[in-house]
Amino acid sequence: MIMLEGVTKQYGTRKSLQDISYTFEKGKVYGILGPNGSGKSTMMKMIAGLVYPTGGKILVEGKPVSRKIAASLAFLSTEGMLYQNFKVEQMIHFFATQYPDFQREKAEELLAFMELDRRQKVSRLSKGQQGRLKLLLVLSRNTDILLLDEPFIGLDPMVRDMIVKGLVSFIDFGRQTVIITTHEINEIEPVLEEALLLDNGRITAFCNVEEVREKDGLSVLEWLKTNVKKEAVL
Amino acid sequence: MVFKGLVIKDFLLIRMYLFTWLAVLIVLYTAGASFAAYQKQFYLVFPFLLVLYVGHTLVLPVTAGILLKAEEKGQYWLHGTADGKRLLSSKLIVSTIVLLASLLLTNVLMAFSLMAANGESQLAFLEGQFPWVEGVLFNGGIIFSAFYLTTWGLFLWSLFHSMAQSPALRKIRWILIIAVYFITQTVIVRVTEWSAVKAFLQSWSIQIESPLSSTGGMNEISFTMDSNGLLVWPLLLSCAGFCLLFFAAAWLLDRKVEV
Repeated sequence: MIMLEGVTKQYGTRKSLQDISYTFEKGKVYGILGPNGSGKSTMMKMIAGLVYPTGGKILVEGKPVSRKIAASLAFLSTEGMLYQNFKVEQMIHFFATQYPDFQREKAEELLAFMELDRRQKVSRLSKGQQGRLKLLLVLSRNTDILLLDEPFIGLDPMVRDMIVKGLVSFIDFGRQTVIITTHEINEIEPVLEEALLLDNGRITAFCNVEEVREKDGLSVLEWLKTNVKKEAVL
Repeated sequence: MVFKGLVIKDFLLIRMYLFTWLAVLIVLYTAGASFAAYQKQFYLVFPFLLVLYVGHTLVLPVTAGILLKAEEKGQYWLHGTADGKRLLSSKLIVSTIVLLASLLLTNVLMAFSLMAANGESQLAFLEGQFPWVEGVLFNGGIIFSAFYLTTWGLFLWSLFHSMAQSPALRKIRWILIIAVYFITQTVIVRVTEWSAVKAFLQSWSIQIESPLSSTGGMNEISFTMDSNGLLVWPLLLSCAGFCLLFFAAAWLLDRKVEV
């Protein structure tokens, strides 16, 4: 369980996150939606212990978050994950040395699934292949928490589809808590259980995806549009 | 396992730079030696080699800088099981390997040049002896200077990045970095000028017997090697200072640098 209690992040006078309180329950898949600059990435980095809150606290399994959380949490970042002059297999080897929970067999399965050539240099990979490699590295870890920050950014629909299939096939649903930030709502909808709308550093709406679908007959995108409109009116 | 993985990663990051640099050293030496031989004054290669040696004080900080630059984008290296001390140690070890490899090659080139020039009887001052002690001291001096620059570099790099989250500090952080360095240096110089401190620093010295502790020369080029003792306290205090800077850099990396 991940608990955010009155979390604020301030850069000078600008507030990136404002008094956020929310609990991410164990074993669920969450989607954090919202426009650019709404604070999605900051929230992810805070849970990963890479950014410290100005106010409030973040608890993972009851313990305050620190850099040490990396041992039990896998984080897919938008940048800086890959070394350009490494080969795919060198990246896998490096991750295997850094995280004791890294599963070599799962990495091999994912390598085949993602159709990546182990001898290819990262700098020679297309954006889509790099995105798949990042997902491979993160999904190969046996952690209770998976944070995926914009896993679809800059990727074409075919690659996005492949990544969603990868998530469906390789996430341990019910055990792993997965938090995904994205703009690509349609692709990710089949995987999501809960959705949060973040705007100007605040959670402005949240929903259970199945309830929205069954009770209101809305897709997540439609729910999102409705809530964004409400925000505009308010 | 974790630390070994970091060292291998850092070595892979720098490997191409290392091989390129060693090749450049050989090319530079060959050019210098060819020129000297063409002039039929082979001793001219020595000032050239001395410049290469002195340039080695920059090899360590530049290598560490390249390795840190590789992590700057996204600072994802902070998301790992290794703490700041291990992350920086790995960079320092790999940078030291690069420095030692480069120094070793330069030493081999120097030894080769000494043997080649000896035949021309330009090195009468050597009296047939190979300058081992001077070589070790000179290499030691270069390594010491390189560590001075690198530990300061690591500390200032961490300080620079720890100020990134504050918009007010972000704008003036270059000025602050320069100020921190110069204020610290000024304080150290002022303190070491006090007579009590000066006496303490000179209170422990080791005499080094050098076979070449006299004035010597090679035709137009002459130099003096002093047989003054090696002052131990400044050396030890400097090493303590390097450690302090390193731990401060690691602390900043763990607690203050954000992504």
